[in-house]
Amino acid sequence: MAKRVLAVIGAIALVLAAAVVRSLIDGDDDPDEGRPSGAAARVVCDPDLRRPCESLASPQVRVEDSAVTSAAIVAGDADVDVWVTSSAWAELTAARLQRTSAPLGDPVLLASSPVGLHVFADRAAVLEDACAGEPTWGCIGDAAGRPWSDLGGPATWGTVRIGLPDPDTAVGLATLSAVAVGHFGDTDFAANDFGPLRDWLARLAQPSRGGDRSLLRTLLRVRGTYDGAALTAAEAGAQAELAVVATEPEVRARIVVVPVRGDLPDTARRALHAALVDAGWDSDDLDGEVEALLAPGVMGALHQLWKDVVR
Amino acid sequence: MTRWSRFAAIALAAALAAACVQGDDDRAGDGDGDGLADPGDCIVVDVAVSSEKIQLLSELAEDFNASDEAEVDGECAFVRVQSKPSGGAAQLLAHGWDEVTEGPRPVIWSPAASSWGAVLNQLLADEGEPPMAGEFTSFMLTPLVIAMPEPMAQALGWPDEPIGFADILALSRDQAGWASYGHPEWGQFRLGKTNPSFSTSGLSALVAQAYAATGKTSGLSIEDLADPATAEFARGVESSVVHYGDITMTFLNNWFRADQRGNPYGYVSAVAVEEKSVIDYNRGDPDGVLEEGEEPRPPRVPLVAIYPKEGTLYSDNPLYVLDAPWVDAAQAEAAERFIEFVQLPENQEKVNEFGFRPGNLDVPIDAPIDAEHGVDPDQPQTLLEVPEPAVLARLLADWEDQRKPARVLIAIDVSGSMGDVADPETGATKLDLAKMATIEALADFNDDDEVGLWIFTTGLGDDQDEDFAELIPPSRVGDVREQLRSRIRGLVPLNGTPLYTVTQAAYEAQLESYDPTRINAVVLLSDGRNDDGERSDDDAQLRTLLDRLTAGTEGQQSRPVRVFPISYGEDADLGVLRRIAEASEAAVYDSSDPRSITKVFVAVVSNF
Repeated sequence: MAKRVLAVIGAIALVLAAAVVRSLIDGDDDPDEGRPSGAAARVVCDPDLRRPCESLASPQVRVEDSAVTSAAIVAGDADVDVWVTSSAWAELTAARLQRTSAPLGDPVLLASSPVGLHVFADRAAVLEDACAGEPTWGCIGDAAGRPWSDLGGPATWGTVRIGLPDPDTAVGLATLSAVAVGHFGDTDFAANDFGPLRDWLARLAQPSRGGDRSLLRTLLRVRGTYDGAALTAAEAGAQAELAVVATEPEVRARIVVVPVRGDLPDTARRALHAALVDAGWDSDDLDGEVEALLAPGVMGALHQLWKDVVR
Repeated sequence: MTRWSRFAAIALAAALAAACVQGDDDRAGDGDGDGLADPGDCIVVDVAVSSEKIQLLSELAEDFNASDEAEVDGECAFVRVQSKPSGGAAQLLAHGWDEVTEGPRPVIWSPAASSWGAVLNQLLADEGEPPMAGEFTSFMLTPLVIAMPEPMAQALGWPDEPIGFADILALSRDQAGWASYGHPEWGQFRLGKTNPSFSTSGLSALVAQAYAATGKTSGLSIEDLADPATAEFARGVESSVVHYGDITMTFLNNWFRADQRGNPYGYVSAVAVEEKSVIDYNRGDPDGVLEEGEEPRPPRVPLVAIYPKEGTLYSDNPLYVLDAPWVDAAQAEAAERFIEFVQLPENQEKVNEFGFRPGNLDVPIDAPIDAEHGVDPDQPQTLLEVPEPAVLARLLADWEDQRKPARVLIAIDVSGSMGDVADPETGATKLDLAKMATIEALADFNDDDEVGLWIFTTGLGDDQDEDFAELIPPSRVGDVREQLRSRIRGLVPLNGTPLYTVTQAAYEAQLESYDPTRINAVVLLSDGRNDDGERSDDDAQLRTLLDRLTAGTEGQQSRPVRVFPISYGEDADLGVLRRIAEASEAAVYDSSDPRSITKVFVAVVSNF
């Protein structure tokens, strides 16, 4: 009973928060002085964050791949005041902007979630053995495309197929960074070290060439497509039949709000933060600093490498 | 024009779009747009769907229309659903949808698999047009499986031993047949596959067959297909095919009737179908559509779904709101409302109840997708890789040469009623249209197929006491195609319709010259009821005929000659023709509107 009451209170709070947020972002406190008073802030959200962004309940919220938004910002023709994306895309875009025009506002960290390989438990056990107890991205990438029977699993599982998110999206670029870190074993690498990575990544990315935007659904519902998928803990939720591997070194997808030509009111930001937490993201200190996983240039090169190998 | 070239557009487009070949609308239904409900003044959302989900989506549309969700800016929305084969709809959308003959143009299109969306976009791109099928919501899912009677599957080691396409296909090429598995009483292994130029499940099975021939599960190449061993394997497999056809429903209905007669083992041993079909069959509803008054009766011997160990392919049933010039903003908005509606958990539970896997992850997979219905929700374990476009195109082209040859006797009714005007606009008679359709259908046979031509009516022969005349005996089509065309052009309407005697005579003639290496069949086109001038013996004649046909399909040493009747015009005796088809384990084709005869003839010839 208590749970039900709490749930109702929570739902009411979310509705109220959404109403408040909408009034705020539709209100008169528009930070863009060049636009008419009363115009709403134009918020662009990455598709991975579609649901939390619905808490903003504004017609001025648009959903678009971070790669698209980033390119528009760098080109100087972005129709956006506030950008909700991952720190990876924010850092990459900021670095590219510094070469051309005015920098972005400082990104504000909202929430984060660890990236891991969520794999069917029976496959996880085989990977554990095949990888000598340490199924890192490096070992998993080595196994990709090989028959499971070579790794000690049954032949009926076919070959090892891993689903990876499209790095055009917020979580996708963070995940690609995690995969590359797993391959090299640390973060101390640069684009000129990519030689052996290319073939390795091509094999690992092969099942993901179509750009699957619903990895978890495909994994669980379209059985046989993947053995596992790279997901954040927030996306995966609690799935009894899945185990998580490749969690070391820990790489987190960090969600940030980036002021582009304006900013999100503090109340709206907090509401978005609450929506993210409600969706399973870990709460991060809103005043905390965003730590870079890889140098932005390396992430940009990784993104390009992905495009090359999946083409 | 060959059958291949006629369907090459679809197949090649499928290939060029790198389309996956998952499933198809493997049930009947043309969906001519008749019988659509009156939407009143509401915003109309017409929906064209592949036939396997027509009943489900029609019910959901009714629910939606009656719900509060069916409203856009104060206006009511009204969803109407019609059935359209996936490949045909893609062609219509790309090349022009005639609303008079095809029904209303759709706002939402739901083919069997998203591959058809890619096909459509490719067809449009070929004509310099923008794409119509963009992002989609997957309504539901079902994998391709191999359906077998449970005892036969057990004989192969099921459920303990994983079974693959390679195992099935090796058995199909084994001259000893089921005797190799300790069951000589089951005779030869007989395989059921639909025609890959028509049916996506047939195409999927063909892909799986090619992979089995090469021992691969991915990366099928043109070089693999060019290997003589691959071609030989394919011919061996095709030799075990009972017949082809455009829809799997034909196999399932015939199988079910054989089961009800107590022998599900003689007609066919295994058929490549969607998982949902196994569930329907085991529920006692083999075609998945319960007609009025029909009650499901579980089969004596259930089927089980074998998920091939090499992997399989899926039908993902997308819902596209078409980006088409005839779709306005209000219709698109109403369409989105309907799509949201069908994704609701309570409606996705209906999807599950119908035997499909729900697209909504929040809805767990539940009964009837369970062992009790012969299927396994934890399968498949892996999937086959869809071949590259050029490989897929080559595969289809090769199949035309490798498929089992046919030996077909075409018997055309030339009774007086065939002289009735069938198309008031042109003045063409029923016989005129039938002649055109038959001549066109001749192009769909391979040169090495054998085709003969009979006509039937009363009063033939010198003494005017014959019921039929053999114009050309079954001969190699490559040698007699022009001769056949010429004889058909010369047909004229004459007297009565000795339906029963000519059917029996045609059957006996084909049986006498039976060729086990071919699909032996009679195509019987008739526009009327049996009328041989003597009514008193009609019942006895029919009984004798049906008994003879039934006996010919039973027993392990049977020499099946299948009779495919075409019920032509409104006066044809569809009921009797259906019984004739069923007795010979074939299918009846309805061309009650004579203007549909060309399309119907194409479907008939897809069996060969």
